[in-house]
Amino acid sequence: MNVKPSVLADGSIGLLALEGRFDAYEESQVRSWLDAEQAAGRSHLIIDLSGVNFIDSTALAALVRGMKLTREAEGDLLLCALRQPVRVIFELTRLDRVFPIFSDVDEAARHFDRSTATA
Amino acid sequence: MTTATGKPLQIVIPATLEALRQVSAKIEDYIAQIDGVEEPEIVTYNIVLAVQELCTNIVKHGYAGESGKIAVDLELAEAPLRLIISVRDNAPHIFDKAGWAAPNLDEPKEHGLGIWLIQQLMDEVDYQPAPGNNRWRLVKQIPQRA
Repeated sequence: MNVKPSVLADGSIGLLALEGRFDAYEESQVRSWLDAEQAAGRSHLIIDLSGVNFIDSTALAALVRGMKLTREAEGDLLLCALRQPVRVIFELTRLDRVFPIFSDVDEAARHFDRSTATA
Repeated sequence: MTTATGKPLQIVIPATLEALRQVSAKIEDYIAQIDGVEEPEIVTYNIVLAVQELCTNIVKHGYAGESGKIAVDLELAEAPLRLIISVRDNAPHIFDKAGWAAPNLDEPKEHGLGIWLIQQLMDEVDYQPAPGNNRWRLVKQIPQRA
């Protein structure tokens, strides 16, 4: 899996773009990024799943951990651009009701803009 | 309607998380040889995911750090068309079927979805435990385009 971390909005939002197979073998890369973002004090995070063609339950568990970490810090973990087979698994596990899911990174970033403005 | 490649296929891998992608790739190739599958991308994903979940459990909890192998057999059966997947391992630890409980999906946790997902994704799931000789049998009907 290719992992591309970056930051948006003058460094207040952490973005991770994933590409390839997000599974039990690869999920430690995402956990490491979550730890690094937490250490950097960023709790507004976005994961771009547009390049992910496979996700398993261990990878879903890493995302759940990220969601809990960010919400404990009064932030959130947003997901975007799920491919159809991946979205089906989110629906099956009802995680589509837990994670805010957006069509692309821009839309997710705007959600943070709005929530910050109204806070 | 299947092609001549409905022949059984055996995949044997070392029991590591890294090696599981070999199983996924061979299952994808196997299903791609079947003619007329309805929604092939979804069907393939569901089967590959179920086997991935099972093998991940075997690596993590069955072998639990010990070395070993996992054997996955694929076989097509007709009327109705279905894929039969047999998974064998020699892991010392067995899955505690009696102690397993379905997860509460309204309270997402960081573990416990694997076996539940297998049950949701497959039509039949059978487990014959024996330390050093565990056997799973998964069956999935393959929907055919009209």
